[in-house]
Amino acid sequence: MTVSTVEIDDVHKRFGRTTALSGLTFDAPAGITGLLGPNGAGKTTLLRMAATVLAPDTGRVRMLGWDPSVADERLAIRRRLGYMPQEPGFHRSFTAFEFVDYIAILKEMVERRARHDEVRRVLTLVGLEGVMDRKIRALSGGMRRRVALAQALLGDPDILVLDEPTAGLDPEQRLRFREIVSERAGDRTVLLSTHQTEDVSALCPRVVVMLDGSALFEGTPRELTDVAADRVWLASERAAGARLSWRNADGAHRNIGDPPAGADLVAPTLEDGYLLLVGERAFASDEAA
Amino acid sequence: MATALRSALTDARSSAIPQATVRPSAASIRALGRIEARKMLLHPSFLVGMAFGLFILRGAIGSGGNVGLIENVQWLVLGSLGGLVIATVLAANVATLRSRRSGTQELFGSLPAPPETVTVALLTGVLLGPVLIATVLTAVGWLAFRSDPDLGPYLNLFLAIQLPLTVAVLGAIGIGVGRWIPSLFGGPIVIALHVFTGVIWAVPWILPSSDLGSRAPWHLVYLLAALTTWVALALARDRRTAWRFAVAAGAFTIGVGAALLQVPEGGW
Repeated sequence: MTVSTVEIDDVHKRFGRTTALSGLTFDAPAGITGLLGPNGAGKTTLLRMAATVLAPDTGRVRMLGWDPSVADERLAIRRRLGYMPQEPGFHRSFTAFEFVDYIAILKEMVERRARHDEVRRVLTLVGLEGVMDRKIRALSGGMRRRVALAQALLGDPDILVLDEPTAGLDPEQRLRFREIVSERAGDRTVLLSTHQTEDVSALCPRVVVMLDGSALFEGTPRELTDVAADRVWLASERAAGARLSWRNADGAHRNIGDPPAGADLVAPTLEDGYLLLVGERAFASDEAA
Repeated sequence: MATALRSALTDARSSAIPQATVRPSAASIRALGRIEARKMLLHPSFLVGMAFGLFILRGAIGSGGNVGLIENVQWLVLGSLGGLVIATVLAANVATLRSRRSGTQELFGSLPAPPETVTVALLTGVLLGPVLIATVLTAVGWLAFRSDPDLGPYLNLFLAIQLPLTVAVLGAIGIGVGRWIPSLFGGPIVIALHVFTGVIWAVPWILPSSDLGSRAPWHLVYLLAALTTWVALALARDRRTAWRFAVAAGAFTIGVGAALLQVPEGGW
């Protein structure tokens, strides 16, 4: 039996007139769960709740079996949590080492030598061992993202909440990121929000697609890919039944939708499945409107 | 400024991050306090404040002349203490605003340490940095003024305690203002209000004199009350409890009373 470490049950959240989450329900077991969805789907709101920095208006959130609305349980969650916000913010006058060290102290790592060893370990893990004494203001955007990832990895937390961790990383850094996260996943829980479907394919045994504040799909990357099975084809031009179509580098149009008879079907990718799923829902909403 | 105040009030109303319940641990505060002290002392605002104090003093005493080593040390100590007061307000204020300006509040909110940890660490940083320097300068000044035939006989412990305590109070003001007014103008405005509106003369410093009477103890009570008021206000920004506001109000009342009681007969 799979035990869920993150349980989200009928959660609603509004910011003024904007509905961020509307009846979101899903469970995330140990391992990596990828969150996909367009901008405004509610991914960041969900991750902020998982990170205990935002409370739902209604509904129930459980992390490792604890309720973040109860003060003592919230503290227990925070002691086992690593969080990388979408826009982490940095003390720019600090060096990378000083900044991660500062956070390590706030994570209750008070024994100086052990803490410094841990800070060096996580900075080395993300490939910043050569620049840990450089001021953050002098680091590139990609390096800063890695500083943010390093602080989330402090203390090897049971739950990692990562909000678009690969945004701004170059391909080599993204591969390094995948290596780090997959090595650490094991029996831990990682919630990973991203716009990069390749990251989900490569890392996540489980994927949740969010749209308009609720879960549109829950399953494996294979199942999401299969949404587009027999619905992707190549043609010399945009086809009539295509919901989406674009021209490949080799000049052929890749169409996604309802193929005509005799179409040149090709194997779908996860991105095809995601685009079809989100696109069809948007199409249905438009038609209903 | 008005925008900053509105922003602070909005934040105070909607303070979205649920807080931890534990008290800040002494070990965390010591560790963060050391970092904050180092950052304050090396911050450009601190160095500029110190330089400004020495510059003003140089202007006040002229460009020199044939004065002895002891006199030079005396002026250096006085100038450094003056600069230290300005520098402490600015550096403590900037350090307090750091988290807000750099947008780390959400990340810090997800950590187990309660929000008071950083505020108390900043106060500890003031003690380990500027107040420690003030203590050293006071000790040097004590030695330099001891041999002064005019002032030496009147040196006493109250005078010595007054200087580091004043620096601590101004550090607490810098932190308290930074916690409630999220603007870099907060520190300079505090200094301007003190110097240019005469607040600084409302409760003058105690100077060496044969006629201190009960004024010196009341002045220390006033300084301790001012320190308590600002510390309580800074902590009340982290967690708005009735207890913290009550302590601030009580200390403020005591401070006003102590300020009145140190006025000599016949007024200043």
